[in-house]
Amino acid sequence: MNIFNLKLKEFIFILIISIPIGSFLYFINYNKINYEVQFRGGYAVANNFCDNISFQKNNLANDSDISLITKKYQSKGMPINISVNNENIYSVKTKGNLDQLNEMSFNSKEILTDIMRAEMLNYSNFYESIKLHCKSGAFTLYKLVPLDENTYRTFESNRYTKFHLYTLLLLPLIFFYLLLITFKYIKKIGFKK
Amino acid sequence: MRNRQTIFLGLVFSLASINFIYCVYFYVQNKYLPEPFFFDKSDTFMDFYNSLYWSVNEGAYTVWKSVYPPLNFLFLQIYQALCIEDVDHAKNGLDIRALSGYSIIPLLVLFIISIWASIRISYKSLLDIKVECIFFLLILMSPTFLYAVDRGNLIVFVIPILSVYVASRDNIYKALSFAVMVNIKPYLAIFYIFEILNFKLDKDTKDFLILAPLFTLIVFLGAGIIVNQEFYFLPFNLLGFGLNGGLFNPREILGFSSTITSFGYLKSVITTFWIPHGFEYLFKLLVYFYIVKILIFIYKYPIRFDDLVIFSIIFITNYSTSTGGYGLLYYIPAIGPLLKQKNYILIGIIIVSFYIGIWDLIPLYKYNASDMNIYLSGEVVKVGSYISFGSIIRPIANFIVLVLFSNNLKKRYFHEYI
Repeated sequence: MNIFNLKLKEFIFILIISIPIGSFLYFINYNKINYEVQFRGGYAVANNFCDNISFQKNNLANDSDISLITKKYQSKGMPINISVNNENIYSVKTKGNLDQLNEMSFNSKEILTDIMRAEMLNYSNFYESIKLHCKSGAFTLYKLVPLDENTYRTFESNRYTKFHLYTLLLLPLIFFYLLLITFKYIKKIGFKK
Repeated sequence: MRNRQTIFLGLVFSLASINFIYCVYFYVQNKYLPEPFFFDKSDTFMDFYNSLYWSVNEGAYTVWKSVYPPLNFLFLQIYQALCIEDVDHAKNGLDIRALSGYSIIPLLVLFIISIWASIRISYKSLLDIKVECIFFLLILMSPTFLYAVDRGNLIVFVIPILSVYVASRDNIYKALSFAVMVNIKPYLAIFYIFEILNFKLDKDTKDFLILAPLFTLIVFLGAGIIVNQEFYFLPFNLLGFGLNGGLFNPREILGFSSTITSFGYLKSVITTFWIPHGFEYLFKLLVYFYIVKILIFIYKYPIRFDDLVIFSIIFITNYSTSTGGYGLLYYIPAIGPLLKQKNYILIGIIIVSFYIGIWDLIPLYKYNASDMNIYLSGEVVKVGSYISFGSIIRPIANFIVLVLFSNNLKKRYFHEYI
């Protein structure tokens, strides 16, 4: 007996079980997307004072602000990740289904506004009143260059490749085939007592 | 005989206790764990937390290039759902550990249960319950187990399953336990490869050889479907892992190793004296010589299942540094079959000595001390780590096990076939 052979009715049986499962796996995954927005954050700057010295303070929204904003949107059920790199570029990553695209886009713009507010608040609390004195007695103040909305870019990508989706579609068939031939083989040899 | 056994076990237990008490004392005094614990004291439990992070985030096989089969991630997803509240906003494994440090406790309890289950399965008919308890405590205090705990490595879950594999006389249970083992640590497929190499034309072996890959695939695909990651990239990742020799830090390998091939890394860390060129190949050649010798024997003559299992474990722990020092835990189920055979008593004694950490108290080569952030105590401390006597004697002892096994195998089967 070749253990890998199946009778026609056995094949139809596993086909009937695996098609709905495979289709389910395919359809719950095919429209999943990753959505990312990037924008340049605001900064506080003091230019050309005391013989051309310049100071620039990036990342005006600090870690606790980012954490608070993240929690605000996570409590709405939105899986987000906000990060900022050394070049002051914010990245907001989220994921969802294709039909949630508008919601994701709307929330991402809201996040931009929240970050902008946090930056302005931190600027007025921590930088606006700082005087940078020179030896001569002259001084300068930090100016705010606000978050630039024109740098706002969006990126969308499918979360899964077609190969992965077709694999998900086919896997239940392979899985049940293996299960069936194993079951038949165990039935043939039996358990040792 | 029984009296000798008791004295031996009592001696080993006393030595293990002294080492354990010393480790606790050292930690209280210095705020970090001594040798042979992982050299990076800020990385405690990170084998577990890194895997946990990737179990709930996409890219485990494409970005992280994981070599863990999906069953590991399935377990971690269940663990996360039951024991850790919210990991969505964690950016990496370190974040999860920082946010929910106590979430490791159920895992540690499961580790302890696994060791107890393994001992019960392997020694129920060989030792009485008191001796089993002493052996259990000995393993819990051993540097091998504590090192696995320090890393949070899921290898500990393999031990009771390996016990089932060794103890089982039914091919279905044997194949099923093999499938689960390989779906936790893929390199354990070596048990199957040696079975093929030693192919006997009896029905029992044939049944196992058919069922084992079927069960393995079923578990692999079933877990893969549920985990919903690109698990089919696992073979490529394993290949990349195997080919990438420079993946581990030499200090990490030398800190706690089971094979003399790790001595090749001495060249990279020792700067105070000269080590000749080709030193690293010498140890590899020695190990490969004995392994090939046994493999030829196994190919030529059918040997018993117990011997094949013991050799597989000896092979895994001697062949490569990639298995990690905690691979010595695989010997726990093997000591049972060894105790049954008089020829292997010496090997059994040497293996039990692996679980004594007293050798690690003796420093052989000290590294420069450096400031380190210690996770367990939460303090920044100057850590003065060293290559211990244990790091040298343990691999040598394991190599001696390989040599003794090779000689005994020839003696035992020589009269049967020649």
